[in-house]
Amino acid sequence: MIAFVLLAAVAVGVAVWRQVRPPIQHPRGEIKLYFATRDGLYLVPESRPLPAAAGLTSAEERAFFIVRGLLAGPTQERLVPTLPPGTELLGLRIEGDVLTLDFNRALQENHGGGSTGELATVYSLVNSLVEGVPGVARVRFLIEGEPIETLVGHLDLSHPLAPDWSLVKPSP
Amino acid sequence: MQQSSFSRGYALALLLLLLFWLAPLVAAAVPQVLLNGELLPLTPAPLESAGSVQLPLRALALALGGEQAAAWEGEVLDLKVNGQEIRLREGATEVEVNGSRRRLSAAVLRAGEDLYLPASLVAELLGYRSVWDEEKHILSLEAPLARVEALSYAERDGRPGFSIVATRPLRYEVRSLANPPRLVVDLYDARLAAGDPPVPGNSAIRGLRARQFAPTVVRVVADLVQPVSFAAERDPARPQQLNLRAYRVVTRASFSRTEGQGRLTIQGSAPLVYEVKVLESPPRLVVDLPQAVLQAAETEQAVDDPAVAKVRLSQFQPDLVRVVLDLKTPLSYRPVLTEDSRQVALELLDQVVGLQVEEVPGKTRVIIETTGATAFSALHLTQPERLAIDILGAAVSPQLQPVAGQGEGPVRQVRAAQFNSETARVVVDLTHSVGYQVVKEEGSHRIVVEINRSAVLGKRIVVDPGHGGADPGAFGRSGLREKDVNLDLGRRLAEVLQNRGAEVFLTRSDDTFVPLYDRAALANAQQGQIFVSLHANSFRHQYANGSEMYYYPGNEKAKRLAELISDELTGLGLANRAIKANKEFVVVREPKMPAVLVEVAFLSNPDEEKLLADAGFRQQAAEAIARGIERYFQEEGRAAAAQ
Repeated sequence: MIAFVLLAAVAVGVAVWRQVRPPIQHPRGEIKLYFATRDGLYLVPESRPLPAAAGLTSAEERAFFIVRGLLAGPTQERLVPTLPPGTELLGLRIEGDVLTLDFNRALQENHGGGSTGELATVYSLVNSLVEGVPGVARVRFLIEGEPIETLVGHLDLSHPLAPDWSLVKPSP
Repeated sequence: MQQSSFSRGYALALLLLLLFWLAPLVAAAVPQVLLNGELLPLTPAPLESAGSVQLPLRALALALGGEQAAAWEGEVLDLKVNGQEIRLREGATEVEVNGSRRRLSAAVLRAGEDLYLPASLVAELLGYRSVWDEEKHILSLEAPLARVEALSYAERDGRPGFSIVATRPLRYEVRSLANPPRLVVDLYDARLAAGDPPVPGNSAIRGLRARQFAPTVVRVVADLVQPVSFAAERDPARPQQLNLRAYRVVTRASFSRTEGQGRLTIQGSAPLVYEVKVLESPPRLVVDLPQAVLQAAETEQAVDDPAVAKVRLSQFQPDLVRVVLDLKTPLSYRPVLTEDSRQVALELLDQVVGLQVEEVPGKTRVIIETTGATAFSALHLTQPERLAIDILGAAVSPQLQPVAGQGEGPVRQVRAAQFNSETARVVVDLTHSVGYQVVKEEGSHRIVVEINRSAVLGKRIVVDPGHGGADPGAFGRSGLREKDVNLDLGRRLAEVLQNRGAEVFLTRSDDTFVPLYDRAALANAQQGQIFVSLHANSFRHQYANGSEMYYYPGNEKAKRLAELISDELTGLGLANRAIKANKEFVVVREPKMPAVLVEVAFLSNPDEEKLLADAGFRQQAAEAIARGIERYFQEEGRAAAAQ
């Protein structure tokens, strides 16, 4: 049901912003979703195969696929979900190299807080999206269509954020 | 020749025998004197007249006491009989006995080269009974003689000596003689009934010998190991026993100083009795030891000491040894017990004579000058902030004045007072809490208090308690709110830093919401020198724990500050997670000063939530962060000094 609503919402968003950014061809393959380690120290990628369905070739569709994957959480037990329960993506759009994400209030209200928690949430999205969506360099966050100063009181979310690769655990 | 000599001697003896046998018959008018039944030969003989008999006093004294017993100078006759000194004058009706006059019922007569008194008066003077047998012309004198029954070696209170036991309390006279050293005890109206005790005697006496020196005098001679004076007294419990005990011998007096404590030690042969006087001009300590004799190899000893010049010993009176400690400054003392009971030990109470405040790079030195004492204990007191250095075995010199600190340094003033009779206390009044150490300066009698000048003194520090008001921050499982933890930590940190002389600005001092950019703007407006944001961390998984710091990438000073704070927090036992650089933390990016965000510990971790809920831990955390800040400014100061 949630997935359906989400799909519908994304479909609306995609429909609205499709004219602004033409669909691009992207080779089939895998994308990486960044989840947090249990100690919260690092982000660690999990790979997901891109489904061979039509429509996933556009940047927005890839972004949507990534956010949905992050919302669904990691498959490995050693990793921890980064988005608070109840979080819904209300829409996304790409303008230039900036991807804007619009979430419901749960992203903020259900968040446990903490710098470590905020970093994990924000950069699991930013890192996954910038890496997985060609042409996107920065990510902006909205809550119910409105800009926010910060998620839970540490990071500056009033402007689009570039990824922070220092948070990614180096490969062993 | 041989034959004739023998014959002549034989004839003489025969004649004498005949004379003695015939004497009472031939010279019936010459009275004879018997003492306790034995004939007392007197020359000249007593005079008899009108039913009484007059005794020749000089002859009597010689018969009773030997050659030294009488001195005849014209009209005055001095007698020494049985320990009594008697002075007689021809024609006088009084007599001096041991210096006091007594009236006589008859006048002193002179006949020839002797003075005479009636036998009854003589007997009274001597304490004898007399009976005059007029028919036989025999005067019987009964002297109540004490029987000397035992001689024995004795030792009491470490003093060797000997005892004489008689049947009655004895009159006696004691003299010391030299070459060889010996003690002569004459016992009057005494009869020897004891044998000599076996030799050797004891540590002071080689042996004792006794003999009937005169008819009523027993002489006991103690041969001494070395010349020592003796005290004689009747035994308090048995008056018929006479105890003679060697005086205490003082063999040595010396001054030494160990671990700053000056000590005068007087060594005796036996436990010493003493009395101490503290004298001035010149300052000195006088120790009098009664019933003691000096037998020291050294009687004067120069001392190389800040307080003492010399030790002197002397036989101040025949039975009093005096030890003088010449001082360079007036000092008091306290007696101390030593393991050797024959020692007297006095510890000098040294003086605190100088206070001084000295500024050296990074430190303020307080120099305490003493006359010798360097044993101390130091403690840090608060409200108001001060250090107390107790100097053991020392007194405060009356001339000592308080000293003021210099400049802005942490020392307000230094003062000294007597804490108790044996301890001087130096108090260093401080402007704020400091790190310090107290050391003895090598090769001197100075105690130096080294006070680390506070590195945060005068520094402008912005402390930012995270969240607040409508923004509660994270929650612990028990409901502990991050904003409350942060505010309490911030207040504590501010107080610690203020105590050390820093100027502290809090971005919020109550439960109000302050937007992130406003916090940075406030710090910039206050021109803070560093910015420290305080937070309690949270993560989705309760496993996460430890301290984490954030700074703006490329800001090396902020990174160093984060490292030092992290180092101190780790010292509390918190896990050292990470020091991370990130561009998006508003409070580390926007302040125009090195800024760090400190996540002290995880509210989402149950163990760390308990810590954060504990006020004692929050105080420790605040102090740890303050130490990190202090170290940061110390490094800054060194770097500035190096340029």
